[in-house]
Amino acid sequence: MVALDGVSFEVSCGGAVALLGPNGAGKSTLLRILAGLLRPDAGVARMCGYDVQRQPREAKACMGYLPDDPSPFSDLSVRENLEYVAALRGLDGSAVDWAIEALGLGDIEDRLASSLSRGNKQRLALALAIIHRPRVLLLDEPLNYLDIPAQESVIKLLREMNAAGTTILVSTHIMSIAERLAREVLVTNRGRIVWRGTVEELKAAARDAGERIEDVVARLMR
Amino acid sequence: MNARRLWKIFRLNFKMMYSRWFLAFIAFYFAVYFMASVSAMRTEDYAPLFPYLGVLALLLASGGGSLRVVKSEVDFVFSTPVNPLVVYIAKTAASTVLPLLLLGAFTVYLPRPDVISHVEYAASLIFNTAFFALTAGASSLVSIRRWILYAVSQMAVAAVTIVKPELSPLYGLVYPSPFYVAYSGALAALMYAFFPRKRVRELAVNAYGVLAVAVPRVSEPEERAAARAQFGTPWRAVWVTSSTYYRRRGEMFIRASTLKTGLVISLVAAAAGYAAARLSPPDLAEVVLALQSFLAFFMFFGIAANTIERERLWLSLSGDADMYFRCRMLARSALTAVFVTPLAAEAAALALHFPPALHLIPGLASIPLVVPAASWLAAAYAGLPQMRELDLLQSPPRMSHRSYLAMLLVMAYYLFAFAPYYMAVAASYIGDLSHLLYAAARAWSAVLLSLSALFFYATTLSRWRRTVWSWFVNKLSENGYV
Repeated sequence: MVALDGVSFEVSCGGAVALLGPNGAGKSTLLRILAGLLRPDAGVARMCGYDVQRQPREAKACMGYLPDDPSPFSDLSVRENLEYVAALRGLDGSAVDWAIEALGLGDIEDRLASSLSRGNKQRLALALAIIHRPRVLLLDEPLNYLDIPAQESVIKLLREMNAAGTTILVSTHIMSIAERLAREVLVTNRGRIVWRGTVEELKAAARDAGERIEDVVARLMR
Repeated sequence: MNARRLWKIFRLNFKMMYSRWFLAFIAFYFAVYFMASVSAMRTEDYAPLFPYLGVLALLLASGGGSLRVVKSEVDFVFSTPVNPLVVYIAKTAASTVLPLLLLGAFTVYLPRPDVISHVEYAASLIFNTAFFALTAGASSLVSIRRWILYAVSQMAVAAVTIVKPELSPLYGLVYPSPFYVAYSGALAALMYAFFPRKRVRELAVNAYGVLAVAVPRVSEPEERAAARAQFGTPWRAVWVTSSTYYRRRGEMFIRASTLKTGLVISLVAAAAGYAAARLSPPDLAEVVLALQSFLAFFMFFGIAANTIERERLWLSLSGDADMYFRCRMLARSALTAVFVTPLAAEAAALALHFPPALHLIPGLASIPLVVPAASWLAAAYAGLPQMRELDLLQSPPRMSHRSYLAMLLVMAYYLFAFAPYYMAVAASYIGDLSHLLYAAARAWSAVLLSLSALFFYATTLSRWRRTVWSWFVNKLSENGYV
């Protein structure tokens, strides 16, 4: 089975791109390749100019990755989870404090991850992905399980990081999330990129056709 | 990497592996054992210690796999720039607590003439611990074929400790000398040299590629079957329960029947046990059979308990949950009965030459009645994590007071189930009391089989089973199962 075929794209520094596609389109596979967790059969993935397979340490130092359905370390507290990843990345305690503050985890920092709700686990996973304030952030369905206030604060945080120079590549199948987090869109289907453009172009296409933006995207995915 | 960072990685891995209560229980247990041993030691003949050390080595060997890769590591360790080997060495170092305590508790109290022998003892203890921990750590990371090599190396150490202690590196724990320091040190160094570095590096850049292809996984057909089934017929329950699917070249799903492989393993074990017992002198045959019963029991229990990792509550319980557990337990009992039969036949055949062997049969007969349900209940109580994407446990298995209590209960059940055999062995030594001991063994067997049947009835057939499995499902939910 071919998961990705002939995918080639570049995201400029400080860009914000959404990967849109139906289930099984290859979005998660693409992010895993970029995160250096899956070796492609052919081709090269570069992160901040580093080949993720040949120079994994340099590539992984500059990026943060939030997987789909993440599993934080369940027998560590929220703070200890962050301390562990901080130790792995060679960060000091101030990075832990910043991540707790940024994701609003102060009230639950001493609770074991195993006792957290799915939404709080997702917030912890996001904190683990951004603790080193990465230059590139790969996000696989970042708003899964979050309630509406948490979604709003996460979107605000990610926009602030993007405005400060962090490049964001977010995978989602929900158009409204893409609209709010990204300026560009890559529509994928059956392992290929079938459309690339800006959110504004998508909106214009929807206006011209007298359709909702979701209908336009759905047509592109077929 | 500086020492402070290393310490933090070690400390947090240690915390993930052991709960405070577990460490407190273990410390208390070993303190009591230590005091009892010191006061009981009246002789300088330490030969009886070696079978115990051999059994400990077997226990440590069976712990291989406890450091396997978990989903949290793929998500949050391999995506960082850290050298993954550092993390695995830190994990291995954290895992030394148990072998250190186990080996130390049996030997630390032995009198030694001077400071040098104390130093030699300490060095032997550290090197032997390192050998077992490194072997367990390495075996967690490799394919099944290489895992067998690691397991065989540990089994060999266990075997020579029992049969010919002077050839064992553990000999230096009882009789310290520079030779045994060098011997155990060389073994530890060898294991460190053969630590699967390449595999670890490969995992760090291709975890989804390596793990998705190489590891047997629950397939879509199996999940569909489980979802559709609520089994329908007992045969379908047996089919699903005995099925393991392997993904070949990333695409094809191949069904492997655990009924066939389990039966072959059981037949080989029975034949090997028969040969070993027949070829051994009578006083060693009883030890061989005791060891075989111990290993067989813990293999049955361990494997049966681990199958819980693959349960998917949303699939299994989407229909009639009560029917699901009933069919599932009946099927597991039927399969276990098939696996136990060759061992029971071996015991019956050996009884012609060594009568106490006959008294292994009640314990073996109890296994299919108790182990299928008890193993799942114990695993749920102990908090065994669920296997998720890539066939990885979602978090590292943790040694907690619950897992400790579960182990104690399992050990107690083993002693209860195989007490008739030990009574019969004792009867063969104490001629005057042999009639009494044989009568006690028969009465014990009757009680054992009655209680086992009652347990089977309660957990599988009666109306009480609903309460039992309702608790079980709640426990799995608490443990993060979906």
